[in-house]
Amino acid sequence: MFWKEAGYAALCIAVPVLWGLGVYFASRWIETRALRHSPAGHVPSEDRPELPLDYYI
Amino acid sequence: MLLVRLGAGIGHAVSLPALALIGLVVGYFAGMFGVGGGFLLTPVLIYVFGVSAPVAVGSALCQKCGTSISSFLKYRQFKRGEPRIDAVMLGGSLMGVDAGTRLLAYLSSLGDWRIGDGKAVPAVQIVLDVLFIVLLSFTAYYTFRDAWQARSRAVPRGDVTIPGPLVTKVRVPPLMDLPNVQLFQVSVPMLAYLGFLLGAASGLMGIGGGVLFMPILLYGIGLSVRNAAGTGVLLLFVTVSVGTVEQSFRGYVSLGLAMAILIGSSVGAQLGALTTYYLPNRILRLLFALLVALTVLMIGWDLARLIR
Repeated sequence: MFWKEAGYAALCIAVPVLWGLGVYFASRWIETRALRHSPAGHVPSEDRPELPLDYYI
Repeated sequence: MLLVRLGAGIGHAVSLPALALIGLVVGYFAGMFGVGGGFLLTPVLIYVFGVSAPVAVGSALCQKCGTSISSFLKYRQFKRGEPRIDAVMLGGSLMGVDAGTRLLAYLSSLGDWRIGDGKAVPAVQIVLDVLFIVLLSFTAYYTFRDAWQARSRAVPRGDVTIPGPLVTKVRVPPLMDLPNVQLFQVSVPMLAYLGFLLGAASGLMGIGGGVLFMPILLYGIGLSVRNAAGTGVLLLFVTVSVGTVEQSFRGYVSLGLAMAILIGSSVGAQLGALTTYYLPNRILRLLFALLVALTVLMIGWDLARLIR
């Protein structure tokens, strides 16, 4: 019983975390592609326009 | 349409597309206003979908495991915030989430309460509603006041650290310096107790802390908006993960429910964030205060209807 509950608890952490990681890396990939295809070419991250302050909280 | 039973704690079938749609709406507001959306999600799950309060809290925490890990990675990418504040608050927060979860279990075991000649209502729901009303009223007031005062502010609050009363008035040693965020002689026990408060709110109410933590960081400690937004995301991830495990062992987490909302909110958050490019920060804060105030009215109205 304990191992069944522990396994479900582990799933409850692992599945959303994997989804969150997927969303993060997908958004980075999209940002990178957008920059590569922008007219100005590659722009260093320091010079990029700021995201809204509380973008991801 | 696509009705599924999402777990023993829910008791009735729930429409998956409707859950994803609610996730989309909550995610949209979360991305637009820069909060996690727990303050909106838990009451909506309880009142719109009829999910029991403990399962709504546990599943909201589970969903936050996904949103908080991407927030944490994003803020580390931009090197915002002060991770040492997270580290100091972590001990208090872990104790707090345990205390909050135990309190939720205790409230669930109390059964129903009847106020006057009204209907019998689960005690846990009455207590959570009252807590939400108090907390959200406080948040709506401070956000509205700040947005109103910003009209006459020459320098945007975003870049300025103004040591708040929790730094200048609470002098309980040991004290620590946080040069990265221009704060000095900050009380370590004060931070640990704040962590406890935040963890207890997570464990009891299923909120990530955006509505509670941001006003404390901005007005209590006095961090700049830029740094406040990046502080606490690591703490949030650890707190909600531990909270999810605790709630799961008590049978309060429905993974299907959490994932349906998470998928919807991932899309909604991106759309909400895009909206922020078209609206000034002050207007966003006024809208946020309005949304919080409307949520308070919704909870208050439902509570009055239930106990009548």
